[in-house]
Amino acid sequence: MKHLKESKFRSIIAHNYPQISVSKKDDCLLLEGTVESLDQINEIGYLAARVHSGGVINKIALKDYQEPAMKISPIKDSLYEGLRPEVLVIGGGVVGCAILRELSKYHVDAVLLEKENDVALHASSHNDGCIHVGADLSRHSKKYHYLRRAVPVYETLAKDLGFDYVKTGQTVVFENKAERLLGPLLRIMFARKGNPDMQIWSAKKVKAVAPGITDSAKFALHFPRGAVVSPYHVTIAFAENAIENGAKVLLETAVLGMTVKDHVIERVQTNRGTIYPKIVINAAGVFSDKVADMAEDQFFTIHPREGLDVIFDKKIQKRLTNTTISLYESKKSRGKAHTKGGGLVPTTDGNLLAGPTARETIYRENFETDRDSFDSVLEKHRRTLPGVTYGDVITYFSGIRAATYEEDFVIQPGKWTRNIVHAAGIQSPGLTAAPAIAEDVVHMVSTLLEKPLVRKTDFRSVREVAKPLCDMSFEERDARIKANPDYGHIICRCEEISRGEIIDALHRPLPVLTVDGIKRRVRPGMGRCQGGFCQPLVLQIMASEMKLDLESIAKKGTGKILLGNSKGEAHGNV
Amino acid sequence: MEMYEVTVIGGGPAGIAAATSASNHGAKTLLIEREGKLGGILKQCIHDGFGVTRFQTKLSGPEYAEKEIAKLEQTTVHVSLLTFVSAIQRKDDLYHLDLITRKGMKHITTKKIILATGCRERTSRQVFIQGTNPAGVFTAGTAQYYINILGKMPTKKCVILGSGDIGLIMARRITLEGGTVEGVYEIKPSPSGLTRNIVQCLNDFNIPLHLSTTVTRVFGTDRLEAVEVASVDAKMNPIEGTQRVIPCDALILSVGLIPENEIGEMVQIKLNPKTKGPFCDQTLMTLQPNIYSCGNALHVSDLADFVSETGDLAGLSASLNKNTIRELVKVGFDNHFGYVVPSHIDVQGPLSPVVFYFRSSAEYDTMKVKLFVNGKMFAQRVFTHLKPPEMERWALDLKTSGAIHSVEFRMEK
Repeated sequence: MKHLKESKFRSIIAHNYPQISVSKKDDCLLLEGTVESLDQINEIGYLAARVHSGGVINKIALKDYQEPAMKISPIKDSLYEGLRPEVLVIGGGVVGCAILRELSKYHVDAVLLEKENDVALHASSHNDGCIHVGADLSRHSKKYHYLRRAVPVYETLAKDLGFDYVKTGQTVVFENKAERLLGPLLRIMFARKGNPDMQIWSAKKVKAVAPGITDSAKFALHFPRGAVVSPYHVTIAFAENAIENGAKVLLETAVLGMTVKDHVIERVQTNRGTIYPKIVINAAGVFSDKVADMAEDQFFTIHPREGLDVIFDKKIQKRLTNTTISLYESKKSRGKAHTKGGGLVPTTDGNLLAGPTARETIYRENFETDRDSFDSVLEKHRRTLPGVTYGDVITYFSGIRAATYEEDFVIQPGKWTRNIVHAAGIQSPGLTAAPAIAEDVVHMVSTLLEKPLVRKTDFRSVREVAKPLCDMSFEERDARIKANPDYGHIICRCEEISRGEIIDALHRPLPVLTVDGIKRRVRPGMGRCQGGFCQPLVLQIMASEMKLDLESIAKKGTGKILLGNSKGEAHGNV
Repeated sequence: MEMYEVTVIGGGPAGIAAATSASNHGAKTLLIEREGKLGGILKQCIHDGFGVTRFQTKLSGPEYAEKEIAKLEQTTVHVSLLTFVSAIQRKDDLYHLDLITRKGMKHITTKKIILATGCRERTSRQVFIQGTNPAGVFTAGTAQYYINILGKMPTKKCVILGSGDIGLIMARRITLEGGTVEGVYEIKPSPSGLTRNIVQCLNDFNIPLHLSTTVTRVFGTDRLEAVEVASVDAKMNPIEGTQRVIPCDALILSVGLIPENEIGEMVQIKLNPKTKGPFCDQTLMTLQPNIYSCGNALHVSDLADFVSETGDLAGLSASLNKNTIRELVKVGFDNHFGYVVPSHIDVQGPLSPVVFYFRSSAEYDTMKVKLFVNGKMFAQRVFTHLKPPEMERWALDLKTSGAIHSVEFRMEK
C-alpha cells in the first residue's frame, strides 16, 4: 500500500467527509462519526491504514444501522464463577485451539472459551482448507512470516494429530503463451519466497494431472508444497489433543465484558460466571477488535468480509483435477478484490470445492448465501474446469473473514493493557499459519508471566484417533467389525459411515452436542443426499447414547430438529 | 465362498419382486438389504393407493410390502439384511462383491446382479435455495420418516416446495397430525404429482397450491424462521418485486427424485441422462453384461405396481441363461416424449411382449402414439390426458417376419 502522510489523510477526510472526526489515541488513528454506506466506512479505513501509525481504530457508524448483538448461548449460570486460570484463550477457532494445544505442552493452567457449542463454527469451518504456499504474499507481511514457518511442520502435525493432509500442490494456469518467457524470472522470485521447487508445467502435463482443464491452458506454475486439509478436523484435533494434555475447553461460554484496572485485565465476565485469568489471549476472530476494546487495548479494526464456497459431488473430482488449480489473473483483471482469486480444490474427503468469493459485509456472523455469489463461483471456475456443472453441486456455504485494514495478522502483546496477547485479524492464510502463530503467542505468554514455561515430560503429542473404516483393507475392517459389530452397520450410505464410528465420535475428549457436530467429525450427511436418509438415524443414535429425548437434540446451536409428538403414539425405532 | 446365480441389491418393492421372480424361475438368488427390514420406502408410506393393478385392491405401503414379502418367503431366496455392498469387481464373467455385515466382511460371487437400489430425494441445495442453513429444512421423505416411523413432528407450520407426490401426501399427513401447511409452491406452471393426489391431498384439505412460484431463500440461524417465495417467469427465474416472506418453522421439499446408481457405477453401467437410470434393453439388462436394473433405480415410477413389474421382469430375465451377445437397436422417439424405457431393443432377445414405459414432454389431451419399425408404422394407440408426471405403459408384441433395424416412437394429434 502506498504511504499517505497523516496531514494529507486528514485533509482528504475533512474535504470528503466533514462529519468524520480524526483523532489520535497515542499513535493510533481514531475515526468517529456516521456515514451513509459500508463502502464509505471501509474506504476511510483503508485510507487510514496507508498512514504510518500505530493502527486504525475505525468506529465510524453506518447511518440508521444498529449492529446486532453477538449471538450467544441462552445458558446463564455460574458454573465457571471464580475460575482462576493462568491463561485464558478467547475463541475456539483454529488459531485459538492451536494456541491451547501449544500451551498444553507446558506446565501452565490453560482454559479456552468458545461462545458456540462446538469449536470451529465460524471461519474455521467455512473456508477451503488450503495449505497455501505464500506465492502471492508480501515478504514483509506477518502472513508470510508465519506461513513460511508453518508450512514445513504441517505434515508432521497431521501425522501426530491424525488429520488428513493431502499434498495436491497448487497450480496456477496461464492462458497467454507469451507469459512463459517470464519463467526464469518467476523461478527466481518464487525461490526467494520459499518455493525453490516451483515447476513450470506444459499444457500436456497440466492435462495429465487435471484432465478437466480448459483447452485454453498454455502452461502452468506448479507449487508442490501446496496441500489441503479439512480445516475443522485440524481445529478439532488441536482442541482434543489439548484436552488430552490437561487443557480445558469451555463451550457455550461468551465473554460479555472485562474489568481493567491500571492496564491489567482483572476480571472477565461471561454468561457462566466471572473468570480471573492472569493472561488473556484474544483469538476471537471476527470479534477480536471487540474483545480488544473490552480489554481497553483496541488498536486495530475488523471489517468482516464474506466468501462463498461451493462443494461438488465426489464423482467429478478425479475426473477433473487432482491438484488445487486456478487460472492466473493479473492484478489488473482482479481489480481491488481482496481474495487470492480462489481456486478449485480437491478436498481431503474426495469432493471438489470451488471458491471463495470476497465481499465486504456489515455482519460479523451472518452465514447466509446469495444467488449472485453462488453463480459467480460457478461462472468463474467453469472457465478453469469447463466440466463443472450446476448438476454436480452438493452444497455451498459462506464464511466471514476477520480482515483488518492493514490486511495483515495482528500477533502481539497488548499495546496498553499488560496481560493480553492478540492473535487477531486472522484471514487466509490463517489456517496454514496457525501452528507458527501458536508458538509465538505462547512465547509472548511466557514473557508476560515473567517465568519460563516448563515443558511437560509426559506431553502426548499424538492424538489417538481411529482411521475411518472405509479407508481400511478388507481384512483390517473385518477384524474391527468382529471386535464390535456396530462397525459393520452402515448408517450413512453416501459416505459409508458405520454406527460404531458415530458412537465413537460421541465419546471423544471434546463433547459433541449436535447432529452437525457429528457430521463434521465423521461425515454422515456430508454426501450427496445431505442427510436425507441418515439424519433420523444419527438422531436416534445420539438420543440413545446421550440418554436424551429425540426432541432435545439440535442440528446446530439451539435449532432442534423435532418439535414434539405426532397425534398418534410414537411408533418406536425401526 | 458363497456363490449365487443372481444377486439382487436393494430390498424395496423392486428388489423383492426381482428376487422372488429369479428364484421362482430356478436361479439361486441372494437378496441384499441395507436396513434391518425389507420393504424400502414402503415402510413409511402409510397412505393407501398401492396395489391397484398388482393386487386389484387399494393397500397401504406396509400392506403392499407385506404381500410382496409373503411371496418372497415362499421361495428359497437367501435374504441378507443389514448388509451393505462396499465394492464390486468383475473377474472372468463373475462378479465379486465385498459386503459389510454386522458379523464381519463377507465376499461372495455371483453370475448376475440386479440393481434395485431405488432413488434419493433432491435437496434444497440442489435446487439452489439460498440463505441460512438451519434445522427445519427437510426432504418430504425424511419428514415422512419422522412422522410415520418415529411419531414425531418435524414442523408445526411449514411451507412445501414442489408438488411431487410425496410432497402432496406429506401436506395431507402434516395436516392430519395437527400441523399447518401454509401452502404448496410449484415452480412449474402445472403440478408435478398425480391428479388424484392434488385432489385428495390438497383440495380436500383446502391447502393452496401456488403454481409458477418458488422458494428462493431461507431465514433463521439455528431453526428455520421464515422462507421467501417469488413468482417465476417462463424461464423459471424469480421475478424481481414478487418476493414475499412467509413465517414458518420448516420448509419441506418435494423437488424430484434421482435414481441411485452409485453401486452400478462401480461396474461402469452407462446412465441415461434423461432418466438418470441405466440404459437397458427390453430384458432390463444394462449395457454391462449380466447387470440388470429395475424399479426406481431404472427410472422413477409414480406407482409401486410399476416398480414391482420391472422387478418381476428383471428377475425373470436374470434367471435365464441368455446369450450375452446382443444386437442392440436404440429406441428412438420424437420431442413429444420425455423419455422411453427401455432405451434399447436387443433384436436377438425376447420380443413378445415388450413393455414400454414413457412420459410425455408436455401436457396433451389426446394423442396418437405410433411405433415405427424399420421406418414403417408397426402399431398405434390413442392415449388421452398425457402429462409428464403420469407414466404411461404400453405392452407390444414386436415379433416380425424380418430383422429389426430401427424402432422409433412418434406422437401426433
